[in-house]
Amino acid sequence: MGFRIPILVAIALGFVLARPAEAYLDANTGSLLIQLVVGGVAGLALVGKLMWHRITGIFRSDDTENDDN
Amino acid sequence: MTTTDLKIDGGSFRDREGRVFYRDDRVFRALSASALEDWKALSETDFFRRTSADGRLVATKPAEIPSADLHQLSPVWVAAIEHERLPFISYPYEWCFGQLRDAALLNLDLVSEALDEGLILKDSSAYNIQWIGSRPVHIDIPSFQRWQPGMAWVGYRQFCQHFLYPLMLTAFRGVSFRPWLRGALDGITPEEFNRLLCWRDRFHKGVFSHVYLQSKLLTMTAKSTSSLKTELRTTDLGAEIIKRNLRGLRKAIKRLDPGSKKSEWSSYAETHSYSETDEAVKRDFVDGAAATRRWRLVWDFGCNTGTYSRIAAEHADYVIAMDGDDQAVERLYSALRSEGNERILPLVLNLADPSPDLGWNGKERKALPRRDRPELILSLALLHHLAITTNIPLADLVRWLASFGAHIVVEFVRRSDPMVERLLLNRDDIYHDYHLIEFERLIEKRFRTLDRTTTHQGSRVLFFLEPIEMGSP
Repeated sequence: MGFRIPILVAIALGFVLARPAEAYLDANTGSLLIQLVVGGVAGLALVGKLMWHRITGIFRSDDTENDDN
Repeated sequence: MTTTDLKIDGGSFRDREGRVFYRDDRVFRALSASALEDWKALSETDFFRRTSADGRLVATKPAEIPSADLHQLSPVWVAAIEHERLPFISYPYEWCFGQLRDAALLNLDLVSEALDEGLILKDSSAYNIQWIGSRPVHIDIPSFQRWQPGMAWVGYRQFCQHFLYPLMLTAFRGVSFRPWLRGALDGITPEEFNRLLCWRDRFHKGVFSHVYLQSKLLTMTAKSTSSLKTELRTTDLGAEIIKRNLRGLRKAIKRLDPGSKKSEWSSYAETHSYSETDEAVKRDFVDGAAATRRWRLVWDFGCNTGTYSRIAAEHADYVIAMDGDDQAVERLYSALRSEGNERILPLVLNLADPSPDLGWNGKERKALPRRDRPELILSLALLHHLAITTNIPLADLVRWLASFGAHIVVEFVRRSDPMVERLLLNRDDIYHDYHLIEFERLIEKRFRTLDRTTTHQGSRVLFFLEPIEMGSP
């Protein structure tokens, strides 16, 4: 089934994006994400890039917070 | 000109970059500085010339409105454009399945073709599509904005809520989308729609990703603090990613079918048992009444598959053909669409429960009688349904017909007619007012009878009525 990989990638990214927050509601993130998932190879590559950014960003954001303080 | 000449439209406030207003009978749209730049970019494209010429985009030109007048409406407006005035405004909850599907396909095609020339539709509201007869027209020019890599199609979710899910609801579940769209102007949300489908429906094209996965991801990311939209702007998200999605949606929608092709009324014109002579008398009567003058707007209440709408259209600029039976309207729309008819607009409307004022402040979407006034009304083989099936008193029906101030061709179906006998078959006969003599007494108060004839062995009486307020010297 050709669509399994995009689905798994999308769900994984969903988990990464679903970090707990107390700020505003961003209900459209999931809809934007689906557009990439159904957007073929280029869309999936972009999902992969965003995931990588997110994962590495988790570590980077701590540094930024420290800088701000 | 003063600003009192300018009348703001109550329903065009959502997009802060443009606002519809009226002056006399002309339709304008005020533009912000940013929308003006987008309009300039759009108006210089082949896309604009092509879609304006083939009628998919509403005819639009720059308007000469003094900036002082625009500023008095709001300081954000810096320019205005003028749109071709449409013959009638209708809403998606009044359309048949084929209309919503064709409107959806038009929306997808416009996004795709606009992308080829560096533009995109920033929203995909079904209310941005209107009709000139059976031709769908996109009317919201400021929806087109300049596109660059990194910009996603923000209107995608709205497209799903306004078009895709309502169509799927009817195609997969056999449930009319109209009450859902009338009940919520923003359409059906992914979360709601996912709950409405059964597991088997997930095997239909597009359901797994556009419904199931989207609803799950929306829930999962609801509390996200970061904006993916902003993040995507820094990427090389290309037009091909969006276009692939558009192609997938197009394929999924093209496969959707309204289901049952026949209803009690959709094949009525072929299956009823009335004689050809009776039908010919009725056609001649309607034609004779309609031919007495040229009518700007005719409303055909209970149009069925449009036989009499077509007769009226020969003597009118525009006809709204309304019926509560969606399959009958579906058949009419399909026929009108295939012949390219731009003079008859078919709508699904239950006249006992017509579209009310809806939306913000009750002004976003207008009730049927507030949108225009017909000059001629056809009400053929309808009143007995309203009087007996929906229990509306005859006096109320006559008052309602008179409230339009229009000429009326009305058919009174007597108790001796098989159709009335059938309606009364399993009901207690509480309709003591439902008699020809009472009907004639009621219409005499409000109308002058210009013509009258009897058909179907005396069981049906046709009247051509002139409102007394208009017709009396």
